[in-house]
Amino acid sequence: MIPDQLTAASFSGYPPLARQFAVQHLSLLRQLPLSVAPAFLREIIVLDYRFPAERRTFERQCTWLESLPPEQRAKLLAPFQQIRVPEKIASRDWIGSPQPFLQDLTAYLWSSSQIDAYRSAAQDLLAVPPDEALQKNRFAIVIVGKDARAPSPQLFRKLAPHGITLHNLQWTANTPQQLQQSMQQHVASSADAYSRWYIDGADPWPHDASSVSLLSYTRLRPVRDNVLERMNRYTHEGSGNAEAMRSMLMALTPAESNADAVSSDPLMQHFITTLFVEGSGTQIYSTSFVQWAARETLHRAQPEQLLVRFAPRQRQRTLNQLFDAATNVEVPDPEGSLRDADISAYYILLDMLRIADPARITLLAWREEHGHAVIVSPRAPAGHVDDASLDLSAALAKYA
Amino acid sequence: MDAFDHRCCELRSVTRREFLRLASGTVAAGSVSTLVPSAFAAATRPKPRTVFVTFGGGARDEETFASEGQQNIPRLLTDLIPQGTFFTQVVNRGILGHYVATAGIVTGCYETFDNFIAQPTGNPTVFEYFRRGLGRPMDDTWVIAPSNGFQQIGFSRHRGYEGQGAGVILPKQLLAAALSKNHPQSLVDYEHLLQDNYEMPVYRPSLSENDGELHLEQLASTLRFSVEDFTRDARALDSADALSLSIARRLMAQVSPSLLLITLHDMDVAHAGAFSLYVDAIQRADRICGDLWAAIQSFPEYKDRTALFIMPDFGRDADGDPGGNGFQHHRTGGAMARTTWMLALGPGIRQNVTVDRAIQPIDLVPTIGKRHGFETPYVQGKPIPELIG
Repeated sequence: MIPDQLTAASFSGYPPLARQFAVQHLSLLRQLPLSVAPAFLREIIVLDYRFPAERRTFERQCTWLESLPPEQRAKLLAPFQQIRVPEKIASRDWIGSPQPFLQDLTAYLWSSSQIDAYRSAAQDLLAVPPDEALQKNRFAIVIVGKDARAPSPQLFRKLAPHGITLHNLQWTANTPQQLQQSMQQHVASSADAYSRWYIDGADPWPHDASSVSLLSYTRLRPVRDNVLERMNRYTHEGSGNAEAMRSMLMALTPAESNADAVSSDPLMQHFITTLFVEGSGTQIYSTSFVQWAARETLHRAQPEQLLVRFAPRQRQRTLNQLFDAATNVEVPDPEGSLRDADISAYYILLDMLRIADPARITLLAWREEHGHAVIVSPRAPAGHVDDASLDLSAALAKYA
Repeated sequence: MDAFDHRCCELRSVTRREFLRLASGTVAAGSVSTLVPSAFAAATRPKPRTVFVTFGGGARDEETFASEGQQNIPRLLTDLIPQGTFFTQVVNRGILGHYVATAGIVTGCYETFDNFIAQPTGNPTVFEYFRRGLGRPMDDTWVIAPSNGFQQIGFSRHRGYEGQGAGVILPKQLLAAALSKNHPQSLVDYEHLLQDNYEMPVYRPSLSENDGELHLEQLASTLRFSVEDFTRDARALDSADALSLSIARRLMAQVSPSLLLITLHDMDVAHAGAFSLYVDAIQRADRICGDLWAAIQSFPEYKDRTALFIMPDFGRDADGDPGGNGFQHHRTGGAMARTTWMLALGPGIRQNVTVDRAIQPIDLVPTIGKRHGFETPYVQGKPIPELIG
């Protein structure tokens, strides 16, 4: 089967939204070379479990490609036409299971030194003009350093050039509540689902559960333990390699991962499952989970308001010990976690810039229970320092 | 991460070579023809030796020689760079997986096998070229490698070089075998020395009975270490890479190999997403490189006749690359992931010099061949002129 032989019947095994989408864009799919068509199908086949924002983004990519003059579209697809997919890979069920096909194709592209050209072609193919989503204001708050006591003079070194550094921002007992109120006041909450998120590396602060999508590392323990147990069993059996283990994990359904025990929302169940099976280190370190969850949330749900709080991860041990949730004793490493969270705060800014115009972004990064913070926003003078004593509302009024 | 990623916009291009011009004031290679030493050029030069160290796990400029990373590598920067030639652009055009990339370094060819399956290389290794070309015994070349995945790095499948490879010491397996024999209850005291490769958990140090016997035989016959002494000394070490250094010292003292590869690997913890652990490992690697050079100068068999090459096998993904996740992986194939550096020091190598011309990691084997005087007929790389006098 090659892409121009696709028909509506090819997608009879897809979930309803996915099937409908594939049929709707069948003409485009039939024009795609085999080296790239499965990449589109990989997105389509999970469309029923995608957030509204990412569905819109993917639909725009397809619509934009369809809108191009044929010669321009052909030019974008030409590099993919050049790639001869080996028969062994081409014969796989790339319609029903595009992910394994793409894993094999990726390995082939690396081994045949075609990976760089492929990536370059993919970037051109996805260079969709900015959409209206970029016009939304986005506000993220990143809290780092829970339980860390040591001074950290280099904290926010990567963020500081992009915003104003505050050395005396007043943290009080009410700050956790004020943070959420401030975010609400600063960026008008839209009616869209999944527009407000709160990600916490430990137990969450009190919050309005009815209006916020919550990811708490502590509360997701059933999923984490489930995935760890599978990883532990797999490595002890010694029956395959790391790629095979990854494939095994990626095939997990929410019911298998226990995600249905932590959320009743099918979209959240799928999202939570992917965070633990696709994320590297998310199963063992809370800081890795929070960073990856923030990245994936920004990329996929594209929230307008995002509160991220890092908590201490456990200390490093051998993988044998970390995988064995039943016997592992988790000893926190607050100082190391502060350093992890520091670069993660910078990565969250980069992730925001991928979905929003810089003129619409506000990011507050703040060391928990300390006065050290950075505000990045159009009104914050980049690379400057303010040593004045400010409370949260005054700082946001001045710089956000 | 697959080749095709739907993350839509590139933030900014990353320009790599906003690189040092090192604090120590190195000068460009073209302007320093008068700086050539020394023993290598002498008429009565002693038998050369080579030690090469790879940072398996990849290290980025940001955490090493770029201005913000220099605080992590004080020994390289202040002790070693002034004594050597520093190559600012080593571009790896092969597969960016640690085992397959290390295999490329030791064969001088970009290997293309599955990174996650331990197997001998297809092309002859530098150890085989060395032994065959110079008629050296097996004890004259060794590899100290981090994990089971590297157990077959010493030999190739290439016909014509059968039985000519290097012995491979896997320090973690060695320690696990020693502990299993005498202190099975005390593994917890040594857990920091048994840290794993986070990209290949199925290569975790585990031992069959037969493996254990082989490791213990290696401990006794090659390193001439009793289990008691080995485990006692290991207790004082702080990391798996420090264990590798300790074994390298012992090997140099007991066997004095002429060609030795050490792959440091702690920094590969980056795959778990913990930046602080990754940087801590780079700082340890820096200290280990300084200590290794000091050890080389302390052994009469090595002093003034040994070249040391230090090179990450590749970099890691750029922060701004939407297809990656910053320092965590090396999956994008972007410029930052492909490009790293190399430091060379020792006899015949100019001191306090930087070279901005791009070289490749596969150039190292033909360079070592030229320096030692053996042929490397199957390599893809080219000898590095600045290093062969």
